[in-house]
Amino acid sequence: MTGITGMAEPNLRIRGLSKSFGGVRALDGVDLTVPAGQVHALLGHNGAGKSTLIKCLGGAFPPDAGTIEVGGSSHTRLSPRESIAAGVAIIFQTLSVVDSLTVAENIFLGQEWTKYGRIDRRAQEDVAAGLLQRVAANCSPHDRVGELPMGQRQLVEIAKALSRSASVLVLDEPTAALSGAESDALAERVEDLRTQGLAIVYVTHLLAEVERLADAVTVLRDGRVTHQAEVSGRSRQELVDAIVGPAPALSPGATAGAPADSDAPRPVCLTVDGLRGPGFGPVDVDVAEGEIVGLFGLIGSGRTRVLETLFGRRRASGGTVRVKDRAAEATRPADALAAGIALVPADRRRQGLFPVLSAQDNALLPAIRPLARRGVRALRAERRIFGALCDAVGLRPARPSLPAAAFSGGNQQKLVLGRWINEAHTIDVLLLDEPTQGVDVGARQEIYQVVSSLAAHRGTAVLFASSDPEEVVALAHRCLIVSAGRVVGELSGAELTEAALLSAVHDPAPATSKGTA
Amino acid sequence: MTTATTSPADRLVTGPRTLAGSGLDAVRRHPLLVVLALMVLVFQLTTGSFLDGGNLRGIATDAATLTLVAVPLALLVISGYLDLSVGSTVALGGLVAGWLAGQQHQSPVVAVLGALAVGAAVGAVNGFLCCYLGLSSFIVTLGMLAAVRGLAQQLFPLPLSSFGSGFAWLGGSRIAGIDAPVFIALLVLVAGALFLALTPAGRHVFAIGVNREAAYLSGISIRRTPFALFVVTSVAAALAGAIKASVLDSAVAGTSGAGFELTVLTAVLLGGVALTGGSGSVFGVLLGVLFLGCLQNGLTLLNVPTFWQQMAQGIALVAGAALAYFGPRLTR
Amino acid sequence: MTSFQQAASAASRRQFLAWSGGITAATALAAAGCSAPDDGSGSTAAAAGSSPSTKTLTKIGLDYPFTQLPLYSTLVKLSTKAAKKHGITLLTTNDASNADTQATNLSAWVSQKIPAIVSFPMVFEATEATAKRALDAGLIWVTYGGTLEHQSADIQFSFLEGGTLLGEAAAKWANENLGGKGKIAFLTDSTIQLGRERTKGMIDAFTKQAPGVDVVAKEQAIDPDTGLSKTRAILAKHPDLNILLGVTDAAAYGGFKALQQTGRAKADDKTFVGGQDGAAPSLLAIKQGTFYRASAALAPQDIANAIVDVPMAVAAGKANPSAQVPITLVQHTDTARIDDLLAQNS
Repeated sequence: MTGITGMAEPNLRIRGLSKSFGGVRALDGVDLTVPAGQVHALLGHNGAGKSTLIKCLGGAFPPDAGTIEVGGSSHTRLSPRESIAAGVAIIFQTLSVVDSLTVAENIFLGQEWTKYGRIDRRAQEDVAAGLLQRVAANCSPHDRVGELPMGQRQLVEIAKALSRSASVLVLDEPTAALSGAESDALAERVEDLRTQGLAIVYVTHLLAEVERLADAVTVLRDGRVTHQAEVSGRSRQELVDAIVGPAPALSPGATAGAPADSDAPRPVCLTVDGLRGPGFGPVDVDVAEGEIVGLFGLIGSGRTRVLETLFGRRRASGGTVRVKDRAAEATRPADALAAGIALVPADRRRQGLFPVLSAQDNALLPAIRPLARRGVRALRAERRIFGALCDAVGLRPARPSLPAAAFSGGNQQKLVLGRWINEAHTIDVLLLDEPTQGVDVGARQEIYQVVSSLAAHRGTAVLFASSDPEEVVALAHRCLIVSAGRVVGELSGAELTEAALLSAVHDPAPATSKGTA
Repeated sequence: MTTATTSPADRLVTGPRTLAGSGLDAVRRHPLLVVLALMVLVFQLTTGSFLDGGNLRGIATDAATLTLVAVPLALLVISGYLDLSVGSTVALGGLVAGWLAGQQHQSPVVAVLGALAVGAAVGAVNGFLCCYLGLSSFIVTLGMLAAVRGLAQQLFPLPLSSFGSGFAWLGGSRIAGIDAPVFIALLVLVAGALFLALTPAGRHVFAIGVNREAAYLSGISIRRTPFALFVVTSVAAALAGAIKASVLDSAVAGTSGAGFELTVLTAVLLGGVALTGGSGSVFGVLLGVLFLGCLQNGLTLLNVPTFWQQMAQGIALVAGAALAYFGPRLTR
Repeated sequence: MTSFQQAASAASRRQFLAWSGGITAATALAAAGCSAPDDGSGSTAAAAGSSPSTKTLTKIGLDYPFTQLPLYSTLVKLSTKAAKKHGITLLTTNDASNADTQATNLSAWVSQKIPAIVSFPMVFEATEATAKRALDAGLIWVTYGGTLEHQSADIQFSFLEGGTLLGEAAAKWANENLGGKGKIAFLTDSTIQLGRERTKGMIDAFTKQAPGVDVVAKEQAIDPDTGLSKTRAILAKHPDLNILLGVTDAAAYGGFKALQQTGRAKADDKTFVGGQDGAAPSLLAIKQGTFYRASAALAPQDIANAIVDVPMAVAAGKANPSAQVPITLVQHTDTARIDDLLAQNS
């Protein structure tokens, strides 16, 4: 319990928090103080340490060093239960409400009110109604959560936090999946909750939100605090600089903003013309041989749908796709692969990885049949190709029989990527969705290198989707800005900077310098 | 990547590959091996005749039909599906074979082929509904368990017997000094193991069982292989029915193979095949089958009273499963 | 052949009853008459003009739960024919050996006022209430294979006697052919009342009359698969086994095959196998003069007759309408009886 001069004592005080995974430092001596009644914005790239910080706070990981003080009591580590008891509530991007239960049931899940051993529904619903009023939700306690729009579900989750008398509220990119109107409504709620005396940590990519809501801001980069100040008339540019850091690191792909030998124009490899599908389109994209093109946009902007439609996982409702001079409209992934298009999906756990199978099986799965001779697997060739792949992507450890689940996120991603870039497979177009999601900083550079040299040496056309401006700058030769299912702008060459990307999504209209809608 | 020219296979970290090492490895991966060895030892010491050639031959013959169905069923379970209809397919296969051989006086070959064809039809229905229409294999095959049994009873309301000496060949003759059913079971074991280890489809079976979505996105045909496994499982069940009919020289629509589906599934699960799909081995299945066979036989040799036998079987089953589960942790 | 499911299953509960049939009382009450119109048979007092035998009873419901047994098909066929002779329609249920399904089906029949119900209850205690409702509704209720408190009449079988007949025959054979020495194994059932009666009958009668023969095994087995594998195990320990008696023909037939597979000649004169039920494969083996030498047999025709005659006797107001179905021992010399039984079964 440490009083601060004159002011109300801070509700959340984090001191010297450090956390490493394997050899990688995710957090390095982070301090963060949030008094009651303050909205504190937390900024930084993917992988800068924001989610590690939140998870330490929520009790998902024990920190290696440092203390967390909540409401005056100090902890060196928290279990999830202790975290809730201490008054911390975290609203993650992927909400933890149960769709099949009612609003009231969700709010009281795990802390049901009982009367004579039975759940007292009446009392729960009365209290729930009060809580919903407090967050100005317009749903009823009887509604099924699964039938509510996203913004209302989020409010239910916040109401749940209030029901546990939370004093510290952490919002993890709360507007990422919301519509414009819903985002505005949420902003009003956040302001309400601030006046009700909660300490609020607000994680976001969007500078406009910081300017509107935040009282103070902390920027993390590579696990360290690079900037911490009150928000008072700071220019947007200053914040961008703090996020991006000094003099952008030399990144492999982004040097010239064009394929390595930019003198000779490369032939077009992937031609997408008027592609339409549910929730997006029409979209036109051309990717030349050896070119790396980014699709930059927020969650829900339709970039994943475009990739999945190209790969045949979703049906297109119109448009044409050509790879070189072959028609390549796919209705199944197998069609797309036959046409030379491969996809590395974003959700590695669900769509990419076979956790209990060996590393070699994971990396070579699609290659086993083509390699086989007269129906019998070519075990020697498989092993040789896997060995070569290990070298090429820097897989660690290079153990073919180790289950994929035992690898780090970065190495898992190398295995999934390796499926399409080993010597048993020739693809013309590589689609990547959030190529470094859940990948640590070191492995991230390696993956960029693998992708860049694939484009440079094999002439593969690469189209990737990302919501991380740093990643787009590091990897892409050219970037298309995607919003509401359409391409609303394009940046390339010297224009392709993080600042330009950030301002493009904050305010799409003026950023369409080379707009090709 | 294209730039890598040297073969790094020699640099790959691999475990020591000594004979003793691989033996220990087998025990670690199949703790049931230890239980089975202990059980054999106890039965031999208490009965004195457990390891006699005649008795072992009896166990092998009993285990043969079980193995025949358990191996393809295990592959099906590894790929994430289930077949509960095998008990009824056993009955239908046995009746069709017996009817062709006994009533229609067809050659044994025609009789067996007839049974296999009927099995393939049942498997194709299962496979189509589960793999192509995406219905739950639990529900579909549970339904087929009843439907196929009903069909068998409708077609053959009366018991069939006296199939002739030609048909007795299937269950009674010896091939290379081994009883024919045991010989067939050995073939199936070897084929199953080779399939998993050496064919692309064998790998695909695991991939589909672990993560169907990821397998689909890897361009693997996620329907064809499980469909084929449904067909093979039912064909094997029909063949097992024909063998049983040949051995018993009789078949009854209502009761042949009743409860067989659970015995087979028990052997498969005891052998370390996960019901959730994606893991298991043919060797494990063999252990599961032998475990059940030896347990039943040993308790009979010991002349254990009925209800004690039933209790002992239940306890041994749970103990075997527990050891298979905890064993790997203990030896680590 | 009568193969039974594993002992533990509920299905096997009263299966042995399946094999019971009776004629003694049945013949006595046969074409009984038609006079008594009102009390017993609620629903269908037929028009005056129709023949006397159809006047009171036009429908009999046969509720036999063990539809998986071959006997079911045989019984339905024979009793349908027997009923038709009296102008009666036979209705059947499909209980699939499920006691809950049986209860539902019986309730439906009572609500529909099926005038006469012959039911083989899987769980006797649980059927009492339904039987009472049937009687209260003025219907005829005939219990098959046992007795209920609320019933119009019953059809009974003596399983102890069937087992005794088999045990005595085997003992007699052992005394004549083995000099009262040798080894015997029993395939038994201890899971249900009827199985226990059959088991007790055969073991007691045999050990009493052939005390010099060693009893080397008593193993639970009612179906051929189990009979086969248990006998194999017994033979591994006692290759010189002489006699094998089964609680069912199905189990004994499995043992018969096991003996042959371990090299016993089909007509070995030092071997005796016997079972109970009178199942077709066993009857054939007996007829062919193999070492399968005896079966305590029930005649399906007798049971079928009782199914029709007992309700008719109740309807006619006979004093003692119940029937006891006899069990007879069938051996190689009873050629005519075997042919008769095989004909009933085909």
